[in-house]
Amino acid sequence: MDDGTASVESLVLAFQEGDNSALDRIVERMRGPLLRMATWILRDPVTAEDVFIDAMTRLVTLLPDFDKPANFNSYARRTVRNAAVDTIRRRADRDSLRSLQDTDRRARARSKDPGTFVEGVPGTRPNPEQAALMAERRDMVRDAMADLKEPRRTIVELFYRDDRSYDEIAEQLGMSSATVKRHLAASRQLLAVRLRSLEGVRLVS
Amino acid sequence: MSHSERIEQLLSGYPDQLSDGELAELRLAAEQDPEVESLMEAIHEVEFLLSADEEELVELAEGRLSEAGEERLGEAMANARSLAFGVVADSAALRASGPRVVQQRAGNDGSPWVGWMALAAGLLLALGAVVISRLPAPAPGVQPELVPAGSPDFGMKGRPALLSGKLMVRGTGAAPWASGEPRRLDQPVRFYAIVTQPTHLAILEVQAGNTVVLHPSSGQQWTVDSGTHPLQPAGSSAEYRAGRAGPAHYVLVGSAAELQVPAGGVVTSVETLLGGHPGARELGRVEIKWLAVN
Repeated sequence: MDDGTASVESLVLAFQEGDNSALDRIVERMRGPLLRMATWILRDPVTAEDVFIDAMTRLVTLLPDFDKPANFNSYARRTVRNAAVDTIRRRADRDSLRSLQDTDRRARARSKDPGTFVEGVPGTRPNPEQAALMAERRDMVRDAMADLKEPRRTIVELFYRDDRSYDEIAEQLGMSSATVKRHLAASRQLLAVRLRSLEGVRLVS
Repeated sequence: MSHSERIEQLLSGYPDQLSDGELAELRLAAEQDPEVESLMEAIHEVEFLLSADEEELVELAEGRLSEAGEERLGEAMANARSLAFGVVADSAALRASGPRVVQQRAGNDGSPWVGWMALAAGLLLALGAVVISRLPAPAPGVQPELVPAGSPDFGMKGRPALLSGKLMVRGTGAAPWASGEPRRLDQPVRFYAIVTQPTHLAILEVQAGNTVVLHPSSGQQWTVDSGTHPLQPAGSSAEYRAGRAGPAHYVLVGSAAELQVPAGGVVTSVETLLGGHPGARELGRVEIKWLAVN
């Protein structure tokens, strides 16, 4: 019996060797982390569910003949991540990963009267343990922001902390919106490297 | 430029500042280098941590799926079992293959499990054959033919499209909502349409004797493929709150043909809208009791 400690690799092998119940345990083991990752990227739990299930549908049909069981977990993560990113890139608003939180649309929403569609972010269920971990990691990222060189530090602060749009930042700093976007993307990469160097635990795992 | 410099360059634009070709190049590199893979995930994490507010930080998906999601996942798992153990899982597959000996996968030979599965599958096949023999045969010349979405009457040509779907309503990060709970007017909700085939949709609000089409607007169409679709009107936002307190019904209507919404969106009733569109039907209905804000 699986006491919850069996690796995904061993469960894949068990399934391939005829243990029908291993499939349920593989899916149970992977659904939380994969669905969380999709939710992070998409910021919309329902679309994330759609992406997750589409990916899992492809993944589980590959299981019987998956020739490198040790790689199945990372393959699954890659599949879900790529599908979520592709979904974002297909959205009409490609200016921002935060398309559901675009600051201009937020500002418009604030001015609307009741009885209309208003902007916001969908919610899921609380998980205090994960929340504490995330808060800790967010503090790590914020600390790392202090090490960014100018104008990147200012751009990151204006974009994420002050909810300013690309155009507003560009105008304030006297540069093009494209330059702002490039600085933001590069800053995310630098912060990601810093996060990985500081961390002992991966959040989505 | 060295390989590592190139990867760094690609990572600095991931994921929204890369061309499709550059993204494919980075993904290929990630498949070969776990470090690149890890950094790609970290970029997503950083993006989330930087932009999430306090409420979002404490609201995470726990791996729970909707009812429809569980069903879809269950079907996928049944198919996987079918591939692995040779069990024909559904009547459509039975119809296509006819009664036959279930083939075992190479590598399963000799497993006692497979013997039991073969026995069970044989019983399943026999039962399926009996059931199929009682089903009416399709009339000649009316085999389903999929018409591309976007044509005026897309769906299954030759027989009426059997539209099915449901309406799902969710709260927001700041204020989750469960079906049946009252909702304050300052707490918006989001609508999701779930359909099993390409459909023209409309969502209506029925409140205090008034029936209004919330989406689409007059002269517009809300046309979707099968799947789950958040309602997000173009140029507007995704969340909705009623204009007045009191119970309101939100009705999802689906049609194989285009739905014509009158100017202003006001209709006499849901039935009136359905009556003007043969084949249209109510796919789902959710009631929300809106509470005034003190």
